[in-house]
Amino acid sequence: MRQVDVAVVGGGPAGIAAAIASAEIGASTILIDEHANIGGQLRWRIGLTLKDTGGLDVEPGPGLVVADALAGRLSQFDNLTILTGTVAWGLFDDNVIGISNDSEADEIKPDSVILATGSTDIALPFPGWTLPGVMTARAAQTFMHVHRVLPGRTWVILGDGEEADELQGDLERAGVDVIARSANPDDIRASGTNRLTHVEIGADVYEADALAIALGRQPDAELALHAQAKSAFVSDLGGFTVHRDESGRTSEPGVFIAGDAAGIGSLGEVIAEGRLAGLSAAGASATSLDAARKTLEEISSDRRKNAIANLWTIGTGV
Amino acid sequence: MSDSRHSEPDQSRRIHEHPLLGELETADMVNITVDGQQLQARSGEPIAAALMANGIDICRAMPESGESRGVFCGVGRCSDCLMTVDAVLNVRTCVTPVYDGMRIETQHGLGTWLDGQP
Repeated sequence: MRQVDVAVVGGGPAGIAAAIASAEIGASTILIDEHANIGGQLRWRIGLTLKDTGGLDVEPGPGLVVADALAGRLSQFDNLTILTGTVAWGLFDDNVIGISNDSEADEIKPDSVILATGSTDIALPFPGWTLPGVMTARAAQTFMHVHRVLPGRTWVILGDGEEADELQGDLERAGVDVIARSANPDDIRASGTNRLTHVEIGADVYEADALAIALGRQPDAELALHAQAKSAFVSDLGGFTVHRDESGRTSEPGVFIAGDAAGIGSLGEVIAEGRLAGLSAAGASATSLDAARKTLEEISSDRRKNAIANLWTIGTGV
Repeated sequence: MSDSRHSEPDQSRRIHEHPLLGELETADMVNITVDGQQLQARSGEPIAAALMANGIDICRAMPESGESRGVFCGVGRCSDCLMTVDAVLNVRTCVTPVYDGMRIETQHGLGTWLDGQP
């Protein structure tokens, strides 16, 4: 069992911001990420550009460039340990975190834990949704951008929001065809013998070898729920959302949550929240906390602020 | 189901050039076998990516219906892409890296352990 001041689970934008904030003020910090490289969504959502830096000392720019810059920053702290390829699979009494990688398992005992576990794609079922060739937008992005393989050549997209637009841009950049889009999961049917060959939208039939579900993302807060943190369904934050204040404090002592895991947000919002959670968890001075709060206040949309402010008054969900 | 889908390895699904990501870095290639057929993979890439690059999208067949399953979430959550790897059942191929000499098999139903137990 390893003892640390602060453990951060998830090395995306929010988790990186939290880990840097915690390490900057001298707290012994561990950052845990299941992927081979830290960066989180910046590694697969490559169309993203960082405009607001959320109080992080980094140049705005393309997400991938920012991810590399942040990885460089993290490596400069002697009091920060980065565990990549490591899954945090449970959050137990006294905030003990169960972790494992390919070869071993261990436990971490932090004074505070910050959950920055990101989001999961929303996948609504429809006829044929289990056929090979039908996948989430994130699967398509991960295989194209991280693994450099095309899941298909002729695509249909289910979804009409920002995620669908983003994926269409990704597919066009990869040089493949998007032949149709449907906004309605009740009006789409995938078919094929052993894999996808056709998609029906209403009365129209398309020949396609790939269908991406791009209906948006929902907070991935399983560890907080494992720790029995209170939660509720808040559509403005993307679904089941853990009760927390602007600093990310949940109903459970020493358990913080930040970023998309605490409510789907913009890059600037999740970074600013991660930074504030990191400073709070590590016991920063009132001056630093006020500055980080001010940055978050400036960046956050009114919708997000209102949804977070109301969280504690909604009542307990699951 | 025949193995006809393995008969024409299609490496053209590899993204060699990308406007934002640039040229694909060269990697050591390793040999893997998939249902007995020898294929090449980039060292360290996930099994499912190596299969996809070789034109294989089907990972397993459901226990009762026999319906095919392939990559769905692509990030280790959904368990649709389970296959039998070096005689170990239910390996999540989207998050398990290949290595030289790996033996991968389409998993039928719950699969069969080496001792014959289901």
